[in-house]
Amino acid sequence: MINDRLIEPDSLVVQSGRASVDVRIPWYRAIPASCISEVSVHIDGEPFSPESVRYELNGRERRLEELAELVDESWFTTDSLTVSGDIDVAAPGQHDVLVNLKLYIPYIVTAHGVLMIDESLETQMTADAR
Amino acid sequence: MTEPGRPIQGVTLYSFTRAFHARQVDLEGLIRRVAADGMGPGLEIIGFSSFRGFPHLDDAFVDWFQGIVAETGLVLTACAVNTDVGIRRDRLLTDDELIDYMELQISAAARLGFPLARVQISLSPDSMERLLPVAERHGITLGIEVHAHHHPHHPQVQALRDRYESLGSPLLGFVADWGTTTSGLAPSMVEAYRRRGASPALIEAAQQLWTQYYDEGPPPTEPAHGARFGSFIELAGRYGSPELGIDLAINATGLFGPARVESWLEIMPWVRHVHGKFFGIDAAGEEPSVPVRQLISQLVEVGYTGAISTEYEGWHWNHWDDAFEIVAGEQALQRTAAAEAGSRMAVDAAEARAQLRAHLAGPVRAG
Repeated sequence: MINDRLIEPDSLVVQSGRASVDVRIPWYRAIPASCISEVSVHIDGEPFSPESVRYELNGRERRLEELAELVDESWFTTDSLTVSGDIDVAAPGQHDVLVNLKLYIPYIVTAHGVLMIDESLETQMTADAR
Repeated sequence: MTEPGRPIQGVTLYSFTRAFHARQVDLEGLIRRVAADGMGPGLEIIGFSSFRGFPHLDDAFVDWFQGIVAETGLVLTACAVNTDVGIRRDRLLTDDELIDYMELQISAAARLGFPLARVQISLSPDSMERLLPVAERHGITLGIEVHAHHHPHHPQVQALRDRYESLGSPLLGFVADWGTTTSGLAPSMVEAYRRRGASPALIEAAQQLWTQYYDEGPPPTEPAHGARFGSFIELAGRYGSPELGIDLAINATGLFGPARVESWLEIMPWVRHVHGKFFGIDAAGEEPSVPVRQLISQLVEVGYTGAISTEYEGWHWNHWDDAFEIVAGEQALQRTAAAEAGSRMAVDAAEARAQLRAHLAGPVRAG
């Protein structure tokens, strides 16, 4: 729907073995956080270390399995979901950033269950070292 | 003889989704722009799109919102709420949970000052009957949106209509979305598929298939809809663009409904609100894929005095044109069409406010 904006421009931050990227909701309305199924980030082809990934939404950082419980808290239309994790990447220079988001759309139920959209976007960004 | 209708002009902020999502303009900016550019007086908003924290809103926010609406002189027409039956990961909401979920949104819409809440067709006649006391308690009309691939002859719509008839309440009705009754695929969507690599042969075949379904009429059942959906996926694969298949199927069956304009007459007594869905305006000022003139003319003929929310949806694929100009173009077409039909659009706020109150308060007219 609005998949051309999945990655917030200039949002890559690299700091001592960790990195983060801001992900935009590719939908026209807020969706409960419990509908965020999966978000994967690759930088220069490398994924975040799985156990280290955290999701910051509405000012709080959580693990993916914690998001699944949040039926009363939404990812708002104009907000970013900041995804961070451990990764070995050099701060200076350009990086390839790939984001994949799997998001349930809670009001659309098909013969295969609740609709899940699967959106990917790849872009190049210069890391902001902090 | 029926008095000629005089639909209320207005717009849904959904038309400006890309600008809002891009943070180019915030909610207050959008409301002020609608008023300043004369795109009202009617104003429709999707709760979950525009109100942070919806449906949990504090009094300060409600006061702020009502203050902006009063200051700009706009007339709230509809708040779209959602049937989010799939918010849990382990199971769908039960009927009881869904009723509670809907009441929260319906009461938030009423607190904000909206006279009508748009609800979605996944609500059964039983659920609507259970929601009627909620609507009565909050003094708000509930309108189930009839949107492609559904249509006035669809069994779900007929079942709702029958229940409405037996309940006889002016607070239960339909929102008629013009995407149900289109006349072709939008040129801007075709252009977007061309830019995404669809061959001329695929584009021609997709248009032919859509026209075949138009000639056959809208899908009478859900399996018939499913078969059409699958046929567009198959077509994209056959013509070398399998990656476009699902997108094409969603748009060709879910945005461009092939029902006839006259089919609205079947449920017209229960149409409490209209979505003036459209996809673009051409150089001659016409909508090439939505028969706007015919739709307006029919509303005038049947005496419709409710609101029409201009709803631009070409933004899904058209990233290059300005949505505000496109909306202005469609509203100009509506005004021309209403004049040609021997009436006019209601564009004065005071007139629209009184007219909408009477339209929603009045008994459902006998067909």
